[in-house]
Amino acid sequence: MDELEQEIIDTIAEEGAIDKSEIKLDSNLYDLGIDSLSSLEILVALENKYDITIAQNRLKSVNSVREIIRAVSNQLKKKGTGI
Amino acid sequence: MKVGLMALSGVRVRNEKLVKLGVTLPQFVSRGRVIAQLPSLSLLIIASVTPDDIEVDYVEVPDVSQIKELNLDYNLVAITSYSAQIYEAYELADRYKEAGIPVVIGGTHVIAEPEEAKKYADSVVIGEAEPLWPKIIKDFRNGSLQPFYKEEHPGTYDLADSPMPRYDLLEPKNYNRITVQTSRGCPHDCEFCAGSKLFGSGFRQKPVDLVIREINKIKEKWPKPFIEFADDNTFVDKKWSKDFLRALIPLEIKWFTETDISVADDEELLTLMYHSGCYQLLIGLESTNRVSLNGIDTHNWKLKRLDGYLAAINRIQSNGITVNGCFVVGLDGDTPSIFQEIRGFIEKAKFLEAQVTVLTPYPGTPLYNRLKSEGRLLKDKYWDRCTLFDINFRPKNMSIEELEKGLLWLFGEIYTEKEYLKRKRYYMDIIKKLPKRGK
Repeated sequence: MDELEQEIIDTIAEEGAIDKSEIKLDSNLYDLGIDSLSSLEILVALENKYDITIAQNRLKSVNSVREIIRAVSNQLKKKGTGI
Repeated sequence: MKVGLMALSGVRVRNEKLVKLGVTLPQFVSRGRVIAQLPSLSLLIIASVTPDDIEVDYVEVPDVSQIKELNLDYNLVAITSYSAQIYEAYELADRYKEAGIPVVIGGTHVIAEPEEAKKYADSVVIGEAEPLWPKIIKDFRNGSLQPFYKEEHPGTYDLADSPMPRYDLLEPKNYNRITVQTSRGCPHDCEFCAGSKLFGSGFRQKPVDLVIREINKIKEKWPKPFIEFADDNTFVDKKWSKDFLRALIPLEIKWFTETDISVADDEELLTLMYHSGCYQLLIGLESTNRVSLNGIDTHNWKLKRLDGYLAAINRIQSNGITVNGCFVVGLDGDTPSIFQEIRGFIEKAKFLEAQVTVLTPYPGTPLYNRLKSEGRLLKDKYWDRCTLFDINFRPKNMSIEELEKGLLWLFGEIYTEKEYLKRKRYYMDIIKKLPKRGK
């Protein structure tokens, strides 16, 4: 797991109030007990942390940890500041 | 001695078209899942007023028909249910009675229909559990269980005496939201409301320190819980509200509740809500139409607020609190144009979530009595269709078909992924600019 993946998982654990050990790359947010309101706050925390904005049409595909990592990673690449 | 405490759980919808449509509607599914997974607070309270020498079993029953073999390891069974699942509750009661285990039944439906419930249970509880359950247990032990247990003075039980609900009975991994009650009742006597007047007409609130104690108890099992306050209208008393929210901030929880639009009048209250972890307020706006709102509540409180709805919602959401705007269709003032009106309002208000339900004459409500006297109920004892999505009466200014068609159209318009994502992005942009919660 790379640095970015670890940081994102840390944020999901912190904002979603769940234990890091429960979070796997393929975990679905809802299965982790994170409902739509909490997932929204997770995305905002990540946007603030990396100073990015996930486009509206990309929001629909961020339901799993892997998809969140991909969305953040893509935005960072667009910014030219990939970790 | 062992008592089985059972709640019929889950959400029911009978309208097949809506069920089919609902599968593809992310918000509808999401809220349905949340509701279905909430624990039954009333059973946790009953467990807490059960004497220590009696063992209790907390059981949620999502589908009675799936129970092939009953757990017969009980001396007594207590069942609670809403109207939509009441026939399933009666079936469960029948099965336990046939097995020789006495059954006590309670909940909102049987308070309205106690004689009906008595056909299926040994005892019917008409009122709040806290004052009545200890007497039921005492009588059961003495072999003198009574057919009915009725609160002598409904609405007078002092919530300052509330026991600590038995949250310890819940398995943490099964619940991502936990219910806490801070109050009972609501000052707005809406004609259709099936909840706020059942336990007396007044508004009662728990002392702040008692609620905080309950949340701290929950935190022992769920360190950072999402609390759903199981109230009809939490923020009626603004002084209590601010004291409560200040006490809530250090607990670092997330929470959701139901209240009325008046919270938008007080900027300090909204700031406190945000920092104490309020993620969403569910607000019964009921309608966007003046004629439809007229007479909904005795003082026309909601009608008087209508012109300020949009500005009030904007104030709440600008403070980082999403609003789940609730609307009822099929009101007497509604014509077929209501669906388009509500659709337009939802777009303007930019609610993160909205809930549209069909007017439902629950037994025991003034609405039920009025529609019955006007001969407008479609059939007798339609309780399993009291789902908030099934039509049980003849609307005044449109046909049943127009109401159903309009409801389905509105669902299709507001619950689509595209609409939801638009509102989600809007709200994310708001909270990005706000300071971190808890400061």
